[in-house]
Amino acid sequence: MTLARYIALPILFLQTLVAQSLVPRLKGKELTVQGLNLNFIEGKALDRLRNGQSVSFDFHLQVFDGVKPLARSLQRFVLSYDLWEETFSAVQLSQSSPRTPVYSTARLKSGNVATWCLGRMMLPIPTVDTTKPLTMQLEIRSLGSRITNPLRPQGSVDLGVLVEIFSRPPDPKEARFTARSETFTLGALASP
Amino acid sequence: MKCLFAITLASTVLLAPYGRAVAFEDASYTNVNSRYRIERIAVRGTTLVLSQGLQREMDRLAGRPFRTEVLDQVEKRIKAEFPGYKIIRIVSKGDKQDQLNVYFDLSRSTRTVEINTTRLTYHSQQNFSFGAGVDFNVRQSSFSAGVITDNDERVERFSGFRGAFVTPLNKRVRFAFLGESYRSQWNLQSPDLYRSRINIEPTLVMDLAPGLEFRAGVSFNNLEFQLPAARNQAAHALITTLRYSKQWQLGLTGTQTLEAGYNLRAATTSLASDFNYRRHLAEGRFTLSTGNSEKANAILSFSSLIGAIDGRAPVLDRFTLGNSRTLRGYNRFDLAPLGADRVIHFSADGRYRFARAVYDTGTIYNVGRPRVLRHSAGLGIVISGITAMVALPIRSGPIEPIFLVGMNF
Repeated sequence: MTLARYIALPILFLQTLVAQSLVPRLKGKELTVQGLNLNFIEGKALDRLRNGQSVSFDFHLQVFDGVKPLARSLQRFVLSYDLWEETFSAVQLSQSSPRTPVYSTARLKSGNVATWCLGRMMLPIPTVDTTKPLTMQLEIRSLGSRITNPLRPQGSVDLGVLVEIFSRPPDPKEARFTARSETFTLGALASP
Repeated sequence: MKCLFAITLASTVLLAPYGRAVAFEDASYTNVNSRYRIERIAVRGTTLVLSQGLQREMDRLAGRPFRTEVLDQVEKRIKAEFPGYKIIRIVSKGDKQDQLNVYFDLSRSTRTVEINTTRLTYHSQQNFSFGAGVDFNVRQSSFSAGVITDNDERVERFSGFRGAFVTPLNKRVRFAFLGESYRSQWNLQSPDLYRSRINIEPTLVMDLAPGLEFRAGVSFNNLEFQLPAARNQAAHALITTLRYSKQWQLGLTGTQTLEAGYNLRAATTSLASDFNYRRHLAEGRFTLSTGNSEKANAILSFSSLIGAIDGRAPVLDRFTLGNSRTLRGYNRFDLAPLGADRVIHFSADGRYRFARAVYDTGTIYNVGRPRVLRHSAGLGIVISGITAMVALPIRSGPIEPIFLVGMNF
């Protein structure tokens, strides 16, 4: 039994390190999420980025009560890869003024890109029983296509367009990434 | 003083690794590499020579900031110059700090078979014309085959099939062979009308100079008549064509194009022809366009043609006006139902985004008959390369609009 425990614990620890997961957090009156080991930049999108091009990614973060979504946030980020510094840059586009980047950052390592993007996404705290079990789900889509003006990728970036993008089934050519959190309650998040 | 020194030192230490330009200095660019400059830009993988205009534009980009949208335009131009090639853009670090190399690697496209629609037109008084074909390459030779039913180009509706191949003989000379067989339909009766025709046309094509092409060969045309009795007649002719085309760049996105051609078709009894005539046709077109060639924002085009037939030519070779490309407000059967042996035509065609307007003027007549100069104008919209247009004759008296829908006109 002791031997089994010695073997199981490191495996569990390693699995925790490697597993891609979402960790929900309360930040004031909003719900945020921290991504652990999320690596959504891969395949053709990564090839394009490493070839000096910009690629846009649409993020869709939702909180579920088991069945139906209670709140959601949709954002578009444009990434590029600095060929000299070998780091990523990210720009969050404004939904009200698509030509205006609202936030940008540079010199991100691959593993930190998701963390920065998720840090820009807030959800209103759903008005449900604080003991009700909830889950969070993240979906990221990218056509991976080269875009001439990244501030106008595939047309407008307004909320309606993003809702439409995530309402349809994914295109086979589209890069898609999903991650889900463990079940949590608002009460547990609120307690220190 | 110590405090100022400490702040300066701290700033230097903190900012030294990031001493290059700010990543997003312009809201138009979200690509972090836009702060770097292009050290080298070139096309690789082909022995073919780029046009002077394109080479000049690429040379001009060296030393300039890296802009993906500018490189996209360059890539489109390369694609237009090398249609059978696949292009892969490679961007990498340059030899010098903060500079990038951009290479366009060309490789022969593995796609050797292409299906295309060469013709699709609806004319409210002449009905549909449709043509489709398949093009494919075998080694250096190009082959094409297709079917067509056309009630727009000539006096009759002709329906049938055609096949052609072109193979290079040396660096400057190609051999081309065309074979076609059609059945003809008429909306009038005359002993001059044939019911089917077969044409075999071997020619040599020579590149005399950049943009200047000379074609010479023989056309063996057999016509099957049915009135007053079934009989075959030949309209064998020597054919000669001189074509010139040149495109000038106006910056990266604008072009002006000149195309001119002269065609002589001389049928003579020495070729066992039943007809003896010479048909001269000269055409010219000048086009100004902004935007790239695939999606031009605005196009202004002027074209003209002048033709004359000397001798007795079959209806096949006689000129027509009043179709989807000439005098668009008229029906060709109202102007010259059996064609004519003289033609002069001028057309101005303007397009801005999806709106299109045309003005045509011309005359068609037989020698010794009065000439009437006619005018017409049309307005239309262009969506995905398909034009829908209403054209009207400009004249006094009753006016019947002509509706045109289609591509490639």
